[in-house]
Order: sequence, then C-alpha cells, then structure tokens
Amino acid sequence: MEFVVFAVFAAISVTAALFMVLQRNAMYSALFLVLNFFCFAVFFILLGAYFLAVVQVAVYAGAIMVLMLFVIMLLNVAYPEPPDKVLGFLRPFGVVTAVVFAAVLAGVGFGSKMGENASILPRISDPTSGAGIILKGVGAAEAGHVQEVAATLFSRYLFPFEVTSVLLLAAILGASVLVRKRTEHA
Amino acid sequence: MDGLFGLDGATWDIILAVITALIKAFVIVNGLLLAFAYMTLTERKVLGRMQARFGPNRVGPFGLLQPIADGIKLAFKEDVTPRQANFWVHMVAPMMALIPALIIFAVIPLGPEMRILGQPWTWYVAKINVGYLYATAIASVGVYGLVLAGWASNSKYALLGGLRASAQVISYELAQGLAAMTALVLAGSLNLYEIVNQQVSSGLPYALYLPFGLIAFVIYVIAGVAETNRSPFDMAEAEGELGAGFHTEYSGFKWSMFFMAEYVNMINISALATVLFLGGWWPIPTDAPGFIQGLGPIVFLIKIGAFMFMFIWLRATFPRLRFDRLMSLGWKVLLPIALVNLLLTSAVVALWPLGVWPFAQ
Repeated sequence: MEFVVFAVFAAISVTAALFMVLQRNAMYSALFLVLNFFCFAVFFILLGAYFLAVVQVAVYAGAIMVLMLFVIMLLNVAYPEPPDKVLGFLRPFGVVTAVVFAAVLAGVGFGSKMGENASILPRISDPTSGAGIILKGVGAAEAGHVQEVAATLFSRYLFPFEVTSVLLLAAILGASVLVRKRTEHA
Repeated sequence: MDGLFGLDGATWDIILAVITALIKAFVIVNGLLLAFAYMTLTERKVLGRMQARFGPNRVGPFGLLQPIADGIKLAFKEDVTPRQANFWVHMVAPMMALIPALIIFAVIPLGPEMRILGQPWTWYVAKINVGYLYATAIASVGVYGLVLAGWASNSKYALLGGLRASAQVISYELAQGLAAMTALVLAGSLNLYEIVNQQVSSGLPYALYLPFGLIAFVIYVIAGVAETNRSPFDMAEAEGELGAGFHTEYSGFKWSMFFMAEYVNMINISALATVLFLGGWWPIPTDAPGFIQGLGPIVFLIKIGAFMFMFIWLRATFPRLRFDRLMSLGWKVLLPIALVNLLLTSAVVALWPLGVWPFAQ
C-alpha cells in the first residue's frame, strides 16, 4: 500500500519536474513546480512528517509560488526568448552539472543501505536513513509532531533559526527601502 | 470477520475504515454542494426581503425548485473559451478554485465522538494533529484558481480582477491566521477536535474569553469575509470597474464552479470560526448520553447557518470599500491589532495555568 502510493507519486513528481524544466512557457513551468511540491507533501506524509507536509503546501505551494506567478504575470515573461539564443554558451556547464548531480545522487542512494530496511521508504524513526539524518535529535516516533519540531527548533537549532529570521528581516527592509517613493513634501 | 476471503481481522479493519471515509467524503461533498444550491436561493430571498421585495417564488412551492432550475440552465449553457485564452490553464483554473474548497471540510469535527448501536462513530473524516494548518494550507492553494483564471482569460478586466482578488486574499490571510492563533494558543493544540473539546469542557467558547477572545473572533470574521471576496470586500468583481472580475470570461459550468467555490468557502470559514471561537457543539457536553450527543452536529449546523445569514446581511447593508482602503484596513488596522492581541493572550496563557482565564466569568 505504502509502496504503491510512493511509486505513483514518485512517477508524477519526476514527470512534473521534467516538464517544469522542458517547458518553454514560464507559466506552465511554475504550475508543474507546484504539482511537484504537492508530490513532496505526499512523501512527507508517507514518512510520518505531517507538519512538514502541511508546511510544504502552505509555504511553498500556497505563498511563494503564488508570488512567482505574480512576477510571471506582471513582467509578462510567460513566453521568453528561446533559451539556446540567450544561454547557449552555458550548455557544456549544464552537462557537467548533470553528471556530477547524477553521481552524487547515485552515491547517496547506494550508500544509505536502503535495501537493508524492511520498508522501502526510510522511516524518520530509523537513524540510518536519510530522513533520520536530517531530523536527528528529534524524538523517534514524534518527529512529525508540531511540539517536537518546535522544541527542536527553539532549543537545539535556536541560533540558526534566529540568524535566518534576521536575514529575512534585512531582506524585507532592503526591498522596502529600494522601492520607496521619495516624496519631497512629506 | 476472521478468515473471510483469506484476509485477517486487521486488514478488514483497514478496508472498513477506508470505505467509511469514502462514504463520509461522498456525503460531505454532496452536502456542501446541496447547501450551496439552497444558499443561493436563501441569499436571493433574504436580500429580497431586506429590500422590500419577494425574491424568487415562482418555481415550485415558495420557489424551492429555483436552484434546480438554475443548475439545469447552467449545465446546458454554451461553454465559451475565448480564442486568445490559454485553453488548458483556462480549463484547470475553476477546478483549482473548487477542489480545495471541497476538501477542507474533511477535518471539521461536526459532533462529539460517540457510539451508535454499540459501534464507535465520528463526525469527521480525519482527525489530524495539524488540523488547523491543513485547513489554512489548502485554503491558500485556492488562490491559484483566481490568479490563473485572471491570467488565462487574456482579458484586462479578468487579469486585474484576479490580481485584486489574490492580493486581497493573501493580505487578509495574515490577520486571519494571527486571529486564529489566539484560539490555538488558548487551546494549546492544532487539532480541531481537541480545540472544540477544550472549549466544551471548560464550559466557555473562546469568543467569550474577554477581551482577547472576542477581539480575535471579530478580526477572524472580518478577515473571513474578505477571504471569500464577499461584499463589502468584493473588489474583485466590482462590476462598475471590472466587469465581473476574474471570471468575466467564464460561462456555463466553469463559471458555476467559481460560484460554488465562493459559497463553499463561505461555509468553510463559518465552520472554522465555529470550531475556533464558538466551541463547535458547545453547550452539548462531549460525554453526554448518546441521544444528547446526537444533537451536537445540529447545534454545529445552526451556528454555521447563523454565520451564513450574517454574510447575506452584510451584503445587504454595506457599500463596497475602495481597494486602497481595503488594503490599509487589512495591513494597518487588523494585522497590528491581531498581533498585539496574540501577544497579550500568549502572555496571559503563559502566566496563568491553562484552563483558568482571569477575565472570564
């Protein structure tokens, strides 16, 4: 059951990712990326991380991509120049990146001993799996719970969390200073 | 049922749970659409009475068959896609508006967990720990319907209407989320069933946790009206300026899907406000004897009905806001108040033990 769900959504996710890259129309690319985000939410649910699944939908699909759509709509870049004209010289670099990425992916896939687990999917409770590495330090069974995520975020990872928030605040202030209208009479 | 078709008891339990969930989902989706149909009739009749006229009263007794006549008319109308429109996005947009609206209701607990004929029975499809976040996440996906409809129609009125609608929804989401956070902080949970249960067992819905609960409740309702693009916040379809807004270029069944999404979203907002601030099935106790527990869903539906009446009442009463006023109301009034309100509520909850509210009673 778990495997069937995983297989179906993995297929959809990879297809959506391919279409996202191969589309000429930026609007279609954005929509396929949204579809991809939804597949990722399903993967998080399969891993037992419900909170991450919901946040994935709320933040990436619900907020960030809507703003991306705004940008595409308002800048009217839905049909840009064919990429070979603009970025043709980047093609060799692209091939190199793809090969390196495939090598890293293969290394992670074979190195994580996925075949030794009873389940096809790595569980968060299983410290040897990839997900376990990401969420190490989180209590085993409660990894998906809001309380656990919050407790870890505000104790163990408090400093990175605060640094990130300061960074985002600086970005917001910078953006509002840059676009501010300078009114003389005010 | 051991051994039936060679499957063991545990497998049968899973199959039974899936079938139950499917039946509930079927009933909820059709119930929502039926409620939508009769909401349109109610709205026209109530608006009529408020404007000293009758409203529809010709089709069937008291006009009760009017929604069915309207539905048949819409289903058989010609479905026009403008030649310059983007065919696929134009077709997908109404679905992206309607589907999120329909699936939010899965986490709404309509009544207390009870036993019917000795079998456990629940009035929700899913009880998940992140219930409220699920509802907001799915609701924020509904914005795609508006943006894409505006873009795909390739019409300036539709595009501006879509931009207005989505900017408004995104802005008011913040105030609404912060107002809801007040209730979540009071409950100490994101699980909608737990939130209702806490209010029922403490005997007081969060809207009566004066003053913070009431302030949060009012902000939540105002933001909810704006979220659903309803009058007086219906800038997206200001007919004097924008034709019909983002659905100007839609007709037939696709248009009625946008119509359905708006009304189902109104029902969702009402249900969430009932859960967060009005205590769900309060004052029916969660652990009452069976037949009294059965009144829980009825109480819940009456509260939703009161909200729906309020939506119509607002539409009949207020003129439309100007768009910049609308945005500054959201960002400069509701958001700061909700933020301070949340801060003070958190302070009170942190300083007093949970369940004891110094300003209540």
